[in-house]
Formats: sequence, structure tokens, C-alpha cells
Amino acid sequence: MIKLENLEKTYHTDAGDVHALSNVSLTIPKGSVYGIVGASGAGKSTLIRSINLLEKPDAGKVFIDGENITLLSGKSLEQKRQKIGMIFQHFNLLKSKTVYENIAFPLKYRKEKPKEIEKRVDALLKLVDLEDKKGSYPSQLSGGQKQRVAIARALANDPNILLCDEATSALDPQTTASILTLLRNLNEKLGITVVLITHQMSVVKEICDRVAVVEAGQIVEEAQTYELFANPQKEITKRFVDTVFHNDDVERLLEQDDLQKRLSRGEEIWHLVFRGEGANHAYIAELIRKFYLDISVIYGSIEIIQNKPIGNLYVSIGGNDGCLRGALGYLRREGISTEPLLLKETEEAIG
Amino acid sequence: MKELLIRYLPNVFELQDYFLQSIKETAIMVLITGAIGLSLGVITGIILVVTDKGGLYENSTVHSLLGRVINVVRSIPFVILIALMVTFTRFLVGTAIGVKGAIVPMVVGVIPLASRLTEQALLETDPGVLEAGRSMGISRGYLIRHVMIPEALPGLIRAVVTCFISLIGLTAMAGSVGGGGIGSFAIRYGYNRYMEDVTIVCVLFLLILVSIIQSLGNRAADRLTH
Ligand SMILES: Nc1ncnc2c1ncn2[C@@H]1O[C@H](COP(=O)(O)OP(=O)(O)O)[C@@H](O)[C@H]1O
Ligand SMILES: [Mg+2]
Repeated sequence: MIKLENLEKTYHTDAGDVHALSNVSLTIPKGSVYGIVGASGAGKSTLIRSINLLEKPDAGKVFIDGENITLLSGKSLEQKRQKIGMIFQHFNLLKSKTVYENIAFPLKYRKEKPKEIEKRVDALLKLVDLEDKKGSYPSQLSGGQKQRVAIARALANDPNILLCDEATSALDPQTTASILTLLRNLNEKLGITVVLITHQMSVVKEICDRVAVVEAGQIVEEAQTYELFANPQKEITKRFVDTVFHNDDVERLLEQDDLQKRLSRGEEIWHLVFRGEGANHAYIAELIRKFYLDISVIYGSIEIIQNKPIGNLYVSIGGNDGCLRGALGYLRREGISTEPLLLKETEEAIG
Repeated sequence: MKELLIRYLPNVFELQDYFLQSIKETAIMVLITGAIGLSLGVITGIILVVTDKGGLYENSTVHSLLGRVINVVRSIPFVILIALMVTFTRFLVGTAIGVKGAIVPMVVGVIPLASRLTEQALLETDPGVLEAGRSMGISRGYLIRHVMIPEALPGLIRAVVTCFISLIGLTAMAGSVGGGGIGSFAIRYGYNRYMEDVTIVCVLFLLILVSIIQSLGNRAADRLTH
């Protein structure tokens, strides 16, 4: 388990002070895949780098399995770091060394026997599926392959924790998916706690068990991944979640043209969010039948997050005021979050 | 062959023993000052880089002090440096003239260049690689020896080549003020006694030497670049 307590970090620059971390506390359960998401400059890197003390916090404590590692320095800190692997956005491989030598590097430092090193490196190469690239230099590899080498190297010391600083941000979507699958497998097979920071909500959606949202050096929201997507509390979380559902794009499109036309025809546009069981129920058919409404679907999507669906539906809806009000009440009672995107003036009271 | 030499390069032929002797002196000066000056220069260059902001041993006092000393020494013209150092040179090696006397100012003269070129080469390496090393719990000393230097090796070789070439230039200058070597030879005979063939042969010899060193260095650096 990783526990961060009241971390503070301020960078003093010529342009003024930057509070990269303010009062950050966080508990990362052992064996989980934990996501930290935030915009660029929010303080994510500073946060993850304080877990292995590459960045010394000005105040606060870092506990790993109950041990306060902020008290360590020199050799004992180095030994602790050997049990915390880390990978980076730009891979950070030694370009003067082959794939094999890169992975062997931390083992050589620990003066392992050559036979042992060879056995271990071969096993790691197999684990990351790169046996045929043993003698290649990093410059001869693709981005995804480089990150696999970096992962193998980070695992050489058999760490319990793997820190990933934007590990997939320099990769294309397909390669990102394969690296995420690899990380998931490492987590499940070897029980490694994976902490990953990213600005891409799609990465969080794919593999994280829990997520923390960072804004301006503070943790503003923390939840189980499904909960975060289903019930985002803070405005910034909603914006992040919307990027996965493409709600932001849909609303922009609607604002551009359709909305005015539909408004003049007396229609409304509702945004419905179905969670869990609700995503399987035939609510639209029910609304048409029970409330005599005209409904057409403008946009819909279903995302599976932690094996549970979340549906987003944009519908244009027309009918008499009483029926509309009844339908709105009914959906909300059923636990379907329903927001009229644009209200006719007379109906503003309903909300 | 012999007739040809006598016909076109009469003075060089006449002075061939001196010529060979001065080549030997130049070689000795370049090799000794190269060995001492480059070692000291490379070490200074490494200190400059690791004490820099964000470096492995960040220390702004050491960094700026060292940088200033280097800049001062670098800005002194070499001929003046020789004159400035006469007392020190005499104290250190017992004489301020000849090959022995030239070596001391040459070492001092090449250190600033060597350290700045080393600094440049080392700064080319990705700081992320050092960070990855630190994240693996590897000590800073080991990172300097096994990451910083090997990663910058092609650049370092180019730096060393540039230093050797400028050392050859320095020997010629040292020669002109009594230091011995090819420079001395060219001045004494080619310039003072108007033996043009001596001047030409000396220039040709230096040109060939410089281009051999340059191309050897380039080849080594290219081979090490992956
Ligand atoms: N070494 C540093 N010196 C000065 N400012 C820094 C340094 N590292 C980060 N910062 C600043 O701290 C803030 C947080 O940076 P960072 O943790 O890298 O954010 P993120 O990884 O979320 O993009 C940014 O405003 C950044 O400019
Ligand atoms: Mg970052």
C-alpha cells in the first residue's frame, strides 16, 4: 500500500512560485491499478515522482507498506527505489546499449552473476514479447517496442510497484492499447501495484480500478473508476469524463446548428445518462408509450467501464407540457440522470 | 627520388635531421599535454555538468565559480599566457623554454577548451536517462561512469579530436617563442632565413596530420553512434 500524507511542493522560479502540490493525501491500495488524471501542468508528474522521492516534497510523508520513506536517504533510499519500478513518456532507454544491455543494466549494478543476469533478462524479454529484439539498439525499435524494453528494465529488480508517468502519451492508439494490456497482465499475474498518471481519460477507462483527479496541485476528486464515470462530482471531472463519451463534441455540434431549428419547432433536447442496469432497459419505448411523446435519438453511446455499461443518449423530444414534465419526473425517479439541454422559456420552472 | 628532393626542397633535405627531430618534439608535446590537459579538462567538464541546475550534484556556487575561472583563462591569448606563466613554469619544471617549458602553459591553455567541449557533449545526453537510472536506485557515481559518459561517447570523441587539433596549433605557437617542435623549426628556418620550402613542408605536414586525426576521430564517433 502506498500512502501519501499532506504532501507540499513549491517550485521557486524566476517567474514566481509554483505550487505544484498542495496538501495532497492519497491512499493507493496494494495490488490495484491506480490512475491519476489531470490537465497538463496540474502537478501529476510531481506527484508520481514524489512516490519514489525523485522529487523531495517540501513537507508531508510518503509511506510504502507502512514505512515512512521520506526519512530515508543515500543507500537505503536507493535500495527502496530498486523495489519501485518506473517508466516514462519518452522511454529513457540507454541509446548506446542494446535491448539486452538496457534490461541487464540494473542487474549489473547489483553485481548479479552473469549467468543469473542472462536467465533473468531472457525471462523478461519473453514477458514483454521481445525475444527477437535482444541485440537491437533502441533507435531500431518502434515506440511501443521501446516502452516494452523500458517495462522489462523497470521489472528487472522485481519491484512491487510500477510507476508510469504518461507511459502511453507518445504512442498511437493501437500501441497504447497493447501496452495497457501488458500493464494489466503484469498487475494480475505478478500482483504489482500499478500507479499511472495520464491526461487521457481513455487510458483510465481501460485499466484503472480507482482514479484521483488532480487540478492545480490538489486532489479534487477520488473514486472507483466506474463511480467516477457514472457520477462525476466536480466540473473538471465532468469535462474529463465527457471526453470519453464524446459528449463535449456532441454538444458543440448541437450548439452550432440544430438547436435553433429544433427550438423553433417546439422540441427539447434531453441528455440522458443510463448506468448499470438502466442501460439495458427499454426506456425510450416506454416514454413513447406512456407519455405520448415524439422522440428521436440524435446521438447515443455505450461505454463498458469495469465491466459495467454507461449509456449516454441525446434525444430530441416533443409533446405537450404536462407529458414532458411527467416523463422528466419518471426518468429521474428511475435513477436516469436527465438534463434538458435547452428549455423553452415557459418550462424553466421544471428543472 | 633523392635528386628530386634536392632540386625542389634543398633546405628541407639539408635539414632533414632537424626536421625529424622537430616532428618528434611536436609529437611528444601533443601527446603529453593531451594526456594531462584532456584528463583534467574532461574532469572539469564533468564537474561543470553535474553541478549545473538539475544535475546529479547540483551546486550553483561550484558551478559558477568554475565557469568563471574557465572563461577568464580562455580569454587570455596563448602567447600572453606563456609569458604570464613563466615563473610558475620555471618553478614546476625547472625551465620555461624548450619542450619541457612549453608543456605547462599548453596544459593550462587546453583545459578550458577541453572542459567546455566536454560540457557541451555531456549536455547533449538526455537527462531522462539519468532520471531513469536514479529511479532504479543506482548511485550517482555509477551513473556518471556507466550512463553519462558512454551515452555521450561519440560527442566526447569529437571533443577530444578538436582539442588535439588545437593542441597542434598551440605547439606551433609555443615553438615560435622557443618551445621547440615543428613551429620552432618553421620559424627558425622558414621565416627567419627565408627558406620557403621549409615553411611549405611544415604547413603540408601539419595539414596532413590534422586531417588524419580528424578523419580517425570522425570514424570512431560514427561507429559508436547507434
Ligand atoms: N523543476 C521544476 N522547476 C520549476 N517548475 C516546475 C518544475 N517541475 C514542474 N514545475 C511546474 O510545476 C507544475 C506541475 O508540473 P508537473 O508536475 O510536471 O505537471 P503535469 O505532469 O501534470 O503536467 C507546472 O506548473 C510546472 O511548470
Ligand atoms: Mg507530466
